[in-house]
This record gives sequence, C-alpha cells and structure tokens, in this order.
Amino acid sequence: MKISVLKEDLHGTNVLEQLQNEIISNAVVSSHIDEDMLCMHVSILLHEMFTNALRHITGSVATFDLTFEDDSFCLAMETDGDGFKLKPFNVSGPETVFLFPRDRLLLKDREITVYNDGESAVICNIEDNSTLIFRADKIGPNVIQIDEFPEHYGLSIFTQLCDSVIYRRTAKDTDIFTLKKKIR
Amino acid sequence: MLLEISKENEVTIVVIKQKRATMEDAKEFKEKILDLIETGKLTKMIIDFSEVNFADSTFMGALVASLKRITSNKGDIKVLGLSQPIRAMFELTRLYKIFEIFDNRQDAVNSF
Repeated sequence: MKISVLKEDLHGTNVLEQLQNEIISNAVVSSHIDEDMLCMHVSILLHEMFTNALRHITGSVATFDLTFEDDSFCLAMETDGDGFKLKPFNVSGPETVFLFPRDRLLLKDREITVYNDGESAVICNIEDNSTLIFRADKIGPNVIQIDEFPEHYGLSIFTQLCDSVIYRRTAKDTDIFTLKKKIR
Repeated sequence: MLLEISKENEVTIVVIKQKRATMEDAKEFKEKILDLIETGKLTKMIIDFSEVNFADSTFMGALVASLKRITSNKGDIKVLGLSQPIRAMFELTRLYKIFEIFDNRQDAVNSF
C-alpha cells in the first residue's frame, strides 16, 4: 500500500485511518499481542509519524509505503526534506543541532544519546554515511530534575513501540524514515 | 483550544473541553497556561483531562513546559481524569514521574 499526501492535506486526511485499518487487519492477535493495546500503539505511532511529517518536511509531499514481511509491518515515510536534525542530549544551544548527513564529519561519536528521561534513553547509531539506527536503552530509574526533563518524545515513542527505527538519506536526496513492528 | 477555567480555594482548575489535544492545540494551550501562571501569579493548578480521549506527544511537551514554568515559581501542576489512551501517553513519555495524577477532583484539590 503506497500513498502520497500533500503536506497541506496531512491534517484532515483519512490516510492515517487507511494505514491503521490495513495494519490491524493484518495483525494476528495472540497471547503476546493484545488487540486493544496494539490498536492504541498503532494509532499513537501513525499520529506521531504524521506530526513529524508536518513539522520537518520542507517539500510538498510525503509518501507512505506500508508493507508486511513475516510477522511485522514496515511503514516507510519518504519526504524531500533537508536531512535528519540530531540534537545530542544535555548539550544546549542552537549550534548543537546537527543535520545528518550534512554534518556527519562533526559527529565524532558513532553513538549519540538524543533523549534521556532518567529511565530510558534513545541512542542514535550512525551506521554509515547515509543511515541512522535508533534504539531505546533502559538506563534507570534515575532522578531527573523537572527543568531537565525532555519536551520532545517522538523518537522515544518510536523506539519504545517499534522493533526497528531507521532513518536513511537516499541518493536522490530524499529522507526515508522507517518503522517496523511485530503484529503477529 | 477550548478550556474552562475555575477556582476552588486557591487552586486553579483548567478543564480541557475537547476530545483531542494535539499539535494543533499545543502552542495555544501553552501560551494560555503560561499567561495564567505569570499574570495570575498562580502556584496551584490542576489540568483536567476527563473529556480528552487522545493526546499526542507535542501536547505532552506543552504540558511539561507549563510545569517547568510553574515550578520555577515554586508551584505545581497536578493532572486529573486520565482515560486509558492518555494514561498510555503519560507512561510512554514518563510524565507520571513528574506529575501527580488523580482520579478524583476533590482529592486533587486537597493535595495542595
């Protein structure tokens, strides 16, 4: 299932519902997959993906490509943005926001913590010159001060709810953000 | 963004009067709450989610920004009436670690 949506149509489109229905109809409920929980998590994931598209794409179109492989769904969102904005955790100032892959030489560490709420962190692994792989790491519970608490949760939600979260910059200068999650 | 604002004792109660609280509402919500905190010199606030059945992470971010402001004035925000999907968002974003959550309005008011 492949659908392209104009940026101005992302609000109010029924594409989100179409994708959700397609995912749920391909899911197999079992002892380790609760249907209500799965519906809620898929709804949250799709909403966050649409929100990310609205926030970050610089072009006019987002293309959603939903496929199924073995026991998982794979949802890829392709946009014509500038790259992926990476902000290392606990470093303040606008100059600490890196644009991948443009600033990849400035990103000296291969693994960068991009989120930390005292209980879990999101680690960004720079896989190669065009690929970022994100994962959730359990780190706590640690005490975190309210004024240090994060205010952006997209990557944390994606990595908690999905089995794989990958960003890739293509040779034709488009951004592809891919989520994979077990549904069987 | 539809908000109903009332006062009980010295506690300001903000009821979100819509089913969805998302990125579209987050900026306006934050501005209204920060304005209430600053102009009213408020330190005791309850945000009532009883009528909300979906909130996204951008709205959660606005809620945290409001908490940061009120705690800098030595105040606190408590939350009330979380439905299952909202509770799930509080768990995914770990907001339960920094907000006290209540099911009953009077208990929330009395907690200050």
